[in-house]
Amino acid sequence: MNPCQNPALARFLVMALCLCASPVALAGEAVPEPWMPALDTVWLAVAAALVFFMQAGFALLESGMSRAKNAVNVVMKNYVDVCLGSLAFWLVGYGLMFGFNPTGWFGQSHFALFGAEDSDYMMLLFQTMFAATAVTIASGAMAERTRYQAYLLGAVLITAIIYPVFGSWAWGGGHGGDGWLAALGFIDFAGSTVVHSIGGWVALAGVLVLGPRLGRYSMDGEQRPIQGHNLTQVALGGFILWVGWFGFNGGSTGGADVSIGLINLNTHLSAAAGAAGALLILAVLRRPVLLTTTVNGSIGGLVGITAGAATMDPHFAVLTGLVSGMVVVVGTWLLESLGLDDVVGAVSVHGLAGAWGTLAAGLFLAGDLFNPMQVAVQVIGILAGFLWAFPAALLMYFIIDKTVGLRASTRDEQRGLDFSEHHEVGYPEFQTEVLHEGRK
Amino acid sequence: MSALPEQRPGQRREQAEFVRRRRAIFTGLLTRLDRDAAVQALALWQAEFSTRPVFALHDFLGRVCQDMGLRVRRGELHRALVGALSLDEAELAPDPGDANGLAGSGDHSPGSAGALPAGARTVFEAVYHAFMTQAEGSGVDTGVRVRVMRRLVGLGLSPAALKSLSGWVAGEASGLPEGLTLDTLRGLLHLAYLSACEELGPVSADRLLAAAVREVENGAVAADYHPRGLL
Repeated sequence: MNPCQNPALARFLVMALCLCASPVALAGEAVPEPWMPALDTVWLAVAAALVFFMQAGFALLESGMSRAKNAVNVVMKNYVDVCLGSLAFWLVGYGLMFGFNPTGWFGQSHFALFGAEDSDYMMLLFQTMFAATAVTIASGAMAERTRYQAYLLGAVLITAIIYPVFGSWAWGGGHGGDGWLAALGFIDFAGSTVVHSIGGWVALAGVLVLGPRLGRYSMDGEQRPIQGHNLTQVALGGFILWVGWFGFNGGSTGGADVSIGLINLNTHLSAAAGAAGALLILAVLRRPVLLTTTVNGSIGGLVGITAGAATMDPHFAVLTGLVSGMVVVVGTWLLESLGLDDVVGAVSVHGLAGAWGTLAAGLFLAGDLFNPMQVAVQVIGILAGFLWAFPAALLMYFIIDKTVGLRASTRDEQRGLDFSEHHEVGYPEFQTEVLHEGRK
Repeated sequence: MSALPEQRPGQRREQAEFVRRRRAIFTGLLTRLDRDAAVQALALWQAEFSTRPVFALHDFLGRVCQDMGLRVRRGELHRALVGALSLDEAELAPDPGDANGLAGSGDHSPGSAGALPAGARTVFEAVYHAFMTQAEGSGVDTGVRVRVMRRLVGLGLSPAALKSLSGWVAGEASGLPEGLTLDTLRGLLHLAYLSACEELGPVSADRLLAAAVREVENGAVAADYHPRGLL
């Protein structure tokens, strides 16, 4: 249809053109009052969709790094933890995280939100996507030996309690009051610690309770690498996560803002530097350059910049990403040497790189570089995140293990969890190493 | 190598506790099911739920009620099982293991708790032999054999059956002992897989098992019983 024949469409296109072509002018000049909330909402809705798209990235990356006999199980965990986690966050988590927070420790209103302002609904949608991201981090680390129902029970508790309680400390107070970390001046723009480190520490707890996959380490500690079944899928997952991160960080402005340019530039540069950092340290250590490590390096860069994307200059974003990539490689090596089996490297990518990124946000704060007070606050925030999420998740998974059972039986591990948990297989026409055709 | 592996005190305690729980479950089942159905349900519990935490009892009940068309009686069966689990040992029914061919194993598929399906024994011997030949090619056959023998106790067999099976695994007896159930054979093959995982790593163990199964699938013995039924 020709826009000239449709005035409404023409107005929309002109508006869209203005928004795309001259955001600086829009932000610099006085914007008509009715437009701005709508514009903020549109941007947040787009950003929320981008963050949701990250779930596809996680699913591809995690299933690609797992064996074919567990592919359906990994994807199902990613798919269903978003579904159940979203409901849990709407019912309980959002209120705990963003409700009226008089003590600084947890919110006390806005549970099962209804009858609220439009902006609250937008905020809930956007934050639900963040909660879904935090919860899905553990699934990759715990892949290939975790019982499906037990994992989902954990996912619900994470989105309902573990994630939002810490979130209320750092980001709480949206409806009155203030989180105690926020009151100290803790900087975590989009959640290096709030989302990623918390997810990483939960993953670490899960990995510890579960133990390694069958035969992953020999009795004398020798490592047996278990290659993923589809590395192109891993790379595609990495790209999708990268794209989604533009919504993750860019949307954390809370609305349409000219600062999104710097934020997303920092995001991109840090991701690129993360991959470069991983490659660099692999070269220095004379280790083989692996696709999985490279992808994890770039994701480490994305995680690392998430805390300071809005508050540091691009050259520091590059430095943050570079170190993040190295942290990912060294962290993975460290965990392996301790006999821990993190299938996708989630603990180092999200936990350790998130901690480093949070520290970097304090170190490289534009206009106030290397302020020791700010750095101290950042360290307090990092430690608080670990000391809350790790023990809480450890206790949670321990109780789940002792009651409903967290670890799949060895026979189920042999058959593959696709068979034992889902009655179907991922690639029925091509899976030559799988010895069943799904449970009848 | 042929000597029956001695049980440590911890293993003996585990075995005694296992038998006590098996008797309790059997006692509970007998209050609502006839003996054959109770034995069949017990075989399912033993094969898939005996090593799971206590709350897995719900999953077990769900399977029993679904398989036997007893959904409307789930509540009373649940109460019976919970009650039986808290009974004193003297009040429990005798252990049904040896007398019913369960002997520490069981299976939910038809016929597996008692008689072995036709051809299953021959196919098992072929698959196990092919697996061990593959392991020999990787230089780990002795290690796998030793690890399997150490784990045989976990199959919950009677002492006599355990001894004769141990001799067969060690290569000292030529024939597989009589009276083994399908699930015992599955358990034994799984022990070989587990042992290969420890010796070679899981990826290699997957390949060994896949190669062994495929080799037998292509042979004449597979006409009587499908090798994948042993997995």
